[in-house]
Amino acid sequence: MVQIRPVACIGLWALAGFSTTLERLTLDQMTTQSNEIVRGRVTAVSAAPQGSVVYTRVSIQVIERWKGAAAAQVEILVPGGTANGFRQTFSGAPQLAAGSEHVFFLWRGKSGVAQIIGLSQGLMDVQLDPAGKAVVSRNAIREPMVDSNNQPVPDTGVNMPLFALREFVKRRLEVAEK
Amino acid sequence: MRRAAGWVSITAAATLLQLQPAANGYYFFVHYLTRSAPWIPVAEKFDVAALQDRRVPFLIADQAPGLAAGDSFAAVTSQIRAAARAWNQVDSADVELAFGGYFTPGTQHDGPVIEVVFGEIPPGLRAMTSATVGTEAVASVTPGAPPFVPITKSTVVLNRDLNRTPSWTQDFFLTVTHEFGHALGLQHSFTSGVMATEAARATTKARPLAIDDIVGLSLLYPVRGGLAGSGVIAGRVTSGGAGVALASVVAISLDGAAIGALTNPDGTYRIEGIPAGSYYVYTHALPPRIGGEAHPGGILPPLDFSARAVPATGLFETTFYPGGRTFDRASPVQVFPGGAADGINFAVNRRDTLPVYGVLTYSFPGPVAVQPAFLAPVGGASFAVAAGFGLTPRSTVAVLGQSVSVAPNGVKAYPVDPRFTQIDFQFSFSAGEGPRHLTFTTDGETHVVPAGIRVVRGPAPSIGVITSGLDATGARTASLFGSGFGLETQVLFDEVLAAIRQASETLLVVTPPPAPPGHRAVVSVINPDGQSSQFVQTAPSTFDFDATGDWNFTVSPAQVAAGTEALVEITGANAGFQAGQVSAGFGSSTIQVLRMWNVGTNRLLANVWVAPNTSPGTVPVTVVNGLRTAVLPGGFSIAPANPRQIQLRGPVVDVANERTEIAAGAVGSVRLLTPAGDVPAASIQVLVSDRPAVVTGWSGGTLLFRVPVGVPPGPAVLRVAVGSESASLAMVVDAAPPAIAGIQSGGAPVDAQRPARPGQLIVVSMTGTPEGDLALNRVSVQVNGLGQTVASVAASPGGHTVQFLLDELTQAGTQQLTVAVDGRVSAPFALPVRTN
Repeated sequence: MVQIRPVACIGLWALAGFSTTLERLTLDQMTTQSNEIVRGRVTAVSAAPQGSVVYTRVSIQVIERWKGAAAAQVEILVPGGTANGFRQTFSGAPQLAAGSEHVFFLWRGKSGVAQIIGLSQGLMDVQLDPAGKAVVSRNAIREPMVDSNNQPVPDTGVNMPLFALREFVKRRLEVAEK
Repeated sequence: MRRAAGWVSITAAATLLQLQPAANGYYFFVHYLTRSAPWIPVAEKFDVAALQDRRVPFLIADQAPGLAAGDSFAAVTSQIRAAARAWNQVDSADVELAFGGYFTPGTQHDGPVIEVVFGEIPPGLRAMTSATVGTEAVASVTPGAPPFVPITKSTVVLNRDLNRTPSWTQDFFLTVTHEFGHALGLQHSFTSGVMATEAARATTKARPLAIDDIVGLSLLYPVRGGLAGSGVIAGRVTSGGAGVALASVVAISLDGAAIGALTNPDGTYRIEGIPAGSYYVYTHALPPRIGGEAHPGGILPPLDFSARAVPATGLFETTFYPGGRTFDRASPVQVFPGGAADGINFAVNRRDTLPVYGVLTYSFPGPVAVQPAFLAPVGGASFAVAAGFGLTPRSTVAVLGQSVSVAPNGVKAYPVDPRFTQIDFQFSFSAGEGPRHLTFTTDGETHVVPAGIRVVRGPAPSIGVITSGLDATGARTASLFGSGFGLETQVLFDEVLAAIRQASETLLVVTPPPAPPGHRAVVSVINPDGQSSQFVQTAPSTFDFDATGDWNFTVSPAQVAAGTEALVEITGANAGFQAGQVSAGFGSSTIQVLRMWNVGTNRLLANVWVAPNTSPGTVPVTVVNGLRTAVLPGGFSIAPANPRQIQLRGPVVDVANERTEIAAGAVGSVRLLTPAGDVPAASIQVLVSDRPAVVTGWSGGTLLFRVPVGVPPGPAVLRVAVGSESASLAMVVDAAPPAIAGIQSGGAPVDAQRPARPGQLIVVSMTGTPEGDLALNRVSVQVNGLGQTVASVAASPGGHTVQFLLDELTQAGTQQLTVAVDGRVSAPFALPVRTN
């Protein structure tokens, strides 16, 4: 019988390995498949286990809303977080900090819980460029180059003025309504 | 037990320096036990020594996901189990995934486990896995075994809406296979194996694992001799003299193998488990992180002793050994069995951006893109379509090796969609089947795509029509008419293999697996070259099962005490259990079916292990028969350990040869635990299939008994009683062994008057041998325990004749001759031998 013995403590928490399998979404798909699209600021972050997975609950103060029913606050769940002494991490899950500002493409399933579409694909940073104009950005998606039908989809990332993204979403939704 | 961050005892610290490092040569989830050099990588993994039979149970949530039309939870279950089987094929790894049945999410587990659950996953995400580990690195006391961080639970989260990814698709199967790899402790790799990120994967349902995946699992869960014949490449990656952390170093051979590793924070690396041969070695930076992702390459960086991430150094130029930015500057490194090619060092140049990376290739044998590109010199595609960052028609594309090359002016914009690049290939006559590595060069930077294309002999198989029929016994058959079939073609109903009865290039006749009444299964055929009928078919082929009645089952006994190995009988009603298609689970991490046997079509015997730490209570029983699944909620209960209970511990083996099949009349052995203390042999009663068996030995907890003559071959119930206490296990009674009827040499019988002489050809007449021809490798001959050279085996009236050369070193006197057929050993036969 092989026995084991502890040789060193490796940290405060029980830690978690991680992985995710992503599927590429175009900006167009994110716009149409999202239930809500908001620009907002993170106001609070807390984590709690739900079944087998720890989720981080993120409260967002809505600055402007581009899609979805009006509400000044939105709460979303992001997989991963630290709760009850355990930390779970999922690749691709964003780590949101209070005070940060983003554009969120949100999706609600049957449970009614809001999540960022595509784990992090639907999260864009909002920052000011050197000229003081608001710019949204998201790195190019390296991994998923096929869509849900196994058809190749190239990706170039997102980097555009905030007003341009707002206009893109508006026009895309107008087309969808027609 | 948890301690504050940064704690380490003096004893432990002193021990660290003497520890063997974790097996290098792959992408594991790594912890370092120091904050600076020397870096001792410690990987996360399941503690197999704490598991029964090295098996990690995986449980599937009992809440079925939403399904596409024609899909079923049974089919989803079969795919998940098939994905687990893909890893179980790795013989060189000391771990196995064991189906433990369905469970209700939220259930507390008493032992290590992998949960497969269905969660609400937003669009853009297919699956995710998280492994919870302990707070302490532990070291095996087994000499040479590396320390590790034990995984206590892995959770695989699949989408609970599978409408867009039906279970029969290759995507679903490979995704689950990939996630199981993570659950076991493997990170993403950069060698196009199943552990590559989804889009960079070059494996298929027919060939789900690449050699890098196999080596990775084998290094994480090593078994003695598992990677025999392999060697090591080791060295250091530096930039400006400083070590480069988390550089990917890959060894590729021109025959298609690719094995990689990541560097330590000081730039050192060590790729183990490389099959002997000639390899080109290159290093490349982790690709830039994807949007929102915290780390480059989807790689979780290692954590130091303070649980702080040790990040990758950054981007640098891809460099080939011994130095150079293109493959034509590379020199091969020879890897010898058991040898280590040390000093394979790289001095790389840092850079701010990568001009080209993340290139993927596709072919279009049918209506959907197939990745990687499958190319057939005759009758198939000869071009691939590629896309990636920095790839343009002006990029230079090359194939490593000689037999396949890019055609002159063969790189151009893809006419159908100019965002993609078309690459035309040409093939020499010697171009054999298998993967080929590609290089893509843009602005002087080279990106290597291992197994970027796969050369095959012909088009993918295709199913035209499937018809249902009955054989002469009334059993259901299915006939598949199509093309591209072969003797090694496999037929899958959903993901369950069907037994093939007849095979030709255009027709396969199979026995469909058991399935629910009226079930419609998706039928696929896959060939050994990796191609599937799903490559070319717009709509999946289906097979409709008969609308027969439903089935159920009962379990006996319905209660077992913790810390017990026990026989559990599963009796079905209208079950139709099919050999090789049945498995069972108890929805618990600490209850495992060790072995199970079919007894007819409605009865199963299972030896079940209930670990001592199993909490008392009820668990569900799941029985899977092909595509049929039934659950008995709360059908089995665990009682607290009974200190007076006698217990049996299998396996039950033949004392003569350690086989688990024991012939009637032979002596079997089983461990018997008698907590009340030693008991006299006379107080032990043994029954085999309700027939009394003679106890022939009882010592040190080992019970020997003679299997009664007359017990029919097949699974049997072994029941042992001591006083009022009894315990049972299933065992297997073998057919009677072959018998030696006579011995001849030179046409005359061998006897005391005509003894055999060393070097003579001896002819043994055997009875009780299996009917038909016997291959030489099924027969062995021993004289006084010394193996002899079998010259021939031929069928004869009533049995077979076996000829062997009596070893020259055989001593004079009466020797004991035995002949074994398929491991069944004959009774000894006296062989007189004279040496002068």
